[in-house]
Order: sequence, then structure tokens, then C-alpha cells
Amino acid sequence: MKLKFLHKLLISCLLILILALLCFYYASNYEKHLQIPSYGAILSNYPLGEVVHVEGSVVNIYPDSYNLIQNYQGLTLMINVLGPSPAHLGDHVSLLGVLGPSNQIVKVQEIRVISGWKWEFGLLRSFLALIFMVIIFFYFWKFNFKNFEFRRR
Amino acid sequence: MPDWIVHIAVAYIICRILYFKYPVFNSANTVLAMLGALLPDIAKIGMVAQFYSIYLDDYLFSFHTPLASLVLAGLLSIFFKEKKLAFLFLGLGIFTHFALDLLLIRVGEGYYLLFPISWQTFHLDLIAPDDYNITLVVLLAALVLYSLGRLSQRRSEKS
Repeated sequence: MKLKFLHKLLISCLLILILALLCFYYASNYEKHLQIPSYGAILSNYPLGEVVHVEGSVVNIYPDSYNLIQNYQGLTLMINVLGPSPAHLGDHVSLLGVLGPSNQIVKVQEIRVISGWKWEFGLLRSFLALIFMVIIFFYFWKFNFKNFEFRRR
Repeated sequence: MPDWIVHIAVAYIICRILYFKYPVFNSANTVLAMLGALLPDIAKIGMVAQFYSIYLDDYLFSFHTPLASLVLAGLLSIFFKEKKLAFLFLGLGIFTHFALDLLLIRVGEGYYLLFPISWQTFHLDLIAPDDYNITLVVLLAALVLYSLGRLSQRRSEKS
């Protein structure tokens, strides 16, 4: 069935509305449904003594602790993790640990470290893949402005 | 997440294998599946927006759910001549994306595959997300399949 321009516009608007509703529902509810609280909970009701999930880049390393920094909704949060650092400066750390006072993780339960260069190399690979995808897509498909749709070349 | 090379290469491999049997998995449709394999990660736009001090992560992460990705695929497929086919191939790519993401080792929450019906999370914890050897293996497999495809095409053209 050939959709006319108005039909296309109507269906597009409907799908965009559904997407917007899904986005708003997700944004307003996902913090409530997290099994392990994260930065949102730390900022709002500070679940002291509970296991939380934090992640970020290692910015300082001390003999008995290290600091993770993370940008959450425009706020720069510094988390101090007690214990010897398993990571180097610039590495990306994701961990589950018991939240102590003053943005401290007093006991780490699970930790995953991604070295800084692997993190950046992964982003670079993805960026290259995106460029490749754009080129290959327009190699096989072209946009027909008359019918307002993509057609095979 | 596995890097995007893995996502598009796996979609390519699946389509290329199926192409030997089913002509509908041709190059143009394969490209749609490859595009679909990146759709759930449209949430990564948030990383770019952060450079401009715009914080959309909480909203955009909903795209990394099967339903939102499929709605997005539906939206895109409207702008193709063969809409159903485009939707099916974008959907195939989305399926491969979540199948790959599920394999990853994750600390904390998994993926909301049943959103918005359920907030149950899923992850299989099998592959390290930073293991670039996976990228190499998958890329090699894709190149082998590409070469085989070209070879069989040349043979069929000669005969």
C-alpha cells in the first residue's frame, strides 16, 4: 500500500509521540526501579550503608584509597573508594560497594576496570563504524525527494 | 556495549550467510539490518549532547530497550519504498544488537528487555565489554564471508 504524504506525516507524528511517552516514562521511573541504587539515589536520599552502583574515571590514587569522578546530569561527583586501587589514572571503573558517609565507598563487593586506552579505543572504533555505516548506507540507498522516501540505487 | 564494529559486522554475517539461501538478504537489505544493529545505541547521542552541557541521558536510555528501538525502526521504515521489508530488516538488526549486549559482563543492572511492561533486567555476563579480540574475530569472519560472497558471485557470472 502506498502511503500518501499526509498519512506518512500522521503516522510519523504518532510514532514520535509514542517515543516521547516512552522516554518520559523511562526517565521518571527508572530510578525507582533500580535494584541497586546509583547516583540519582545518592544525590536525593543518600542510602547510607546500602550497596550502590557507581562508576567513573580514576582521577586520584592514594595508598589506601582512590577517587572516581563522574558527571551526572551536569553535576561533577567525586566518589572516594577505600582500599588499594586496582586501576591506573584515567581508567574507567564500575563497582558495587557499600556507601559510607561523605561520598565514600567503604567496602567494594564487585568491580570492573576498563583501562583508559581501551575505553577510548572502543569509542574510536565505534566512531569509525558510524562513518563506514553512513557511507555504505548512501552507497546502496538514495533519498527520493519527490516521493519523500529512500529507494535502492 | 560491544563496539559498533561488532554490532554491524554480526548483522552483516547473519545476513550474508542467509543470502546464500535467500536472495532477499541482498546487500541493500543487509545494510538496513546493519543500520538496525546501531539503532538501540542512538542513546549515545547523550554523550555528544553532554559536550554542549545538555543532559538527556535519562530520556535517551529508553531507546536502549527493544520496544523503543522497534518504534524507532517503524518510524524510519515509513521513509522506505518497501516499508514492511525495511522494518523487518531494521528489526533483525535490533535483535542482533540486544543478543550481543546480553552477552556482556555488567556490574550492576542489566538491560530492560521487557520495558515498559516490566523493569526486570537481564544480562548473561559472558564477554568483557573491552575485549577487542572479539572485534578482530568478528571482523575477520565478516571479511571471509564477504570474500566468499564475491567469489561465488564471480563464478555465477562466468557460468
